[in-house]
Amino acid sequence: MAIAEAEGPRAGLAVVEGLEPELDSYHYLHATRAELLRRLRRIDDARAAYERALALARSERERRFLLGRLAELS
Amino acid sequence: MGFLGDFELAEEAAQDAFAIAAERWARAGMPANQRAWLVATARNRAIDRIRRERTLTAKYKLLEAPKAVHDEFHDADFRDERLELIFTCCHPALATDAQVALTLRALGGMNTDEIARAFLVPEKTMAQRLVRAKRKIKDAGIPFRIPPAHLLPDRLVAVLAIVYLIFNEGYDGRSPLLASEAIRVGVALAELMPDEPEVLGLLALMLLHDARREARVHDGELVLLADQDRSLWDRSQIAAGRAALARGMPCAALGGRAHTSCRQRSPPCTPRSRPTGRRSRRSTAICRV
Repeated sequence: MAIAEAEGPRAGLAVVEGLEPELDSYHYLHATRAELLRRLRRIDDARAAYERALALARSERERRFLLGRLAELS
Repeated sequence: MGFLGDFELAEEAAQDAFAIAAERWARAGMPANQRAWLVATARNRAIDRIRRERTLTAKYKLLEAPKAVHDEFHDADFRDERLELIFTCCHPALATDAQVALTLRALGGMNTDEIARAFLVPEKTMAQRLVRAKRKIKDAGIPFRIPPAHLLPDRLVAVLAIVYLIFNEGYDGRSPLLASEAIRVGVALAELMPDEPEVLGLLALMLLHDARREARVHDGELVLLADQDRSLWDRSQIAAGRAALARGMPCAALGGRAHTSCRQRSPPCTPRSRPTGRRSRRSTAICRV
């Protein structure tokens, strides 16, 4: 996210996607990806990433947050 | 534990020593060096236990050890064994959940019931997990030592992964106690390995994340960094995190995993320049609020 803030979402996304094979089961990775895709207006991809994060999220609070983001996208 | 090579016996002996201290110190006053007194007493109690419970031949070696409690103690006589302890607790031969539980029990200062509650399992389950893990250390002959130089980098990564795992368990708010415990272990590690950039990087990462704990939730809902009330950030903890980072920076030749992630995470409470230094490809650029 820091890289996305400094260099733009595309640069951030490149880093995140490089980590994906290694951290595929990590919900924050997918939440990050979703956020960056949303900023890039790749709405369908963002939705898929939010759904993946949602499936992996463990706390209710995080789930509510991700559901909120999903609702905003549609 | 280094002396006995037996986790369970060491724990029992330590409990004995505290019980004796509670009784004797109240009566006869505190000894000048309480830590050394406790260690020596525990050691003697362990020898007594071994004498009672096992044949002399099986444990002959242990009986060659010092037999009497000396009247005067010097701290230097009793090495700090926490580093050996954490490397033993996080030995790769143990299952991850066992590593986590042992680390919390031995270094984090949590009792079995607290660990069980933090991981939402019944106390009995956690107690069994701990017993099995301790037995495994004994049966598999997992050495009580700091790994040799050629193994150290990998083993340190494994230790830090366990500490970070514990921190993460606490991070999402389900068990905030775990985040504090992970920081506590991180502080101890930084004390014991003061020149290890990865240790300092992880400590900084945890301090900086945790400093925003209060601001991360409002009315039960998650608040992202950009929308957080910065007056709720713990400034002294941010300062401590930055100090750990600054201490680790000169040591970080290439910028390891925790380090890079952390540099990205230092809260922008002062005008912030972009993270510099070579970025590790494996750095975890994770979305956190």
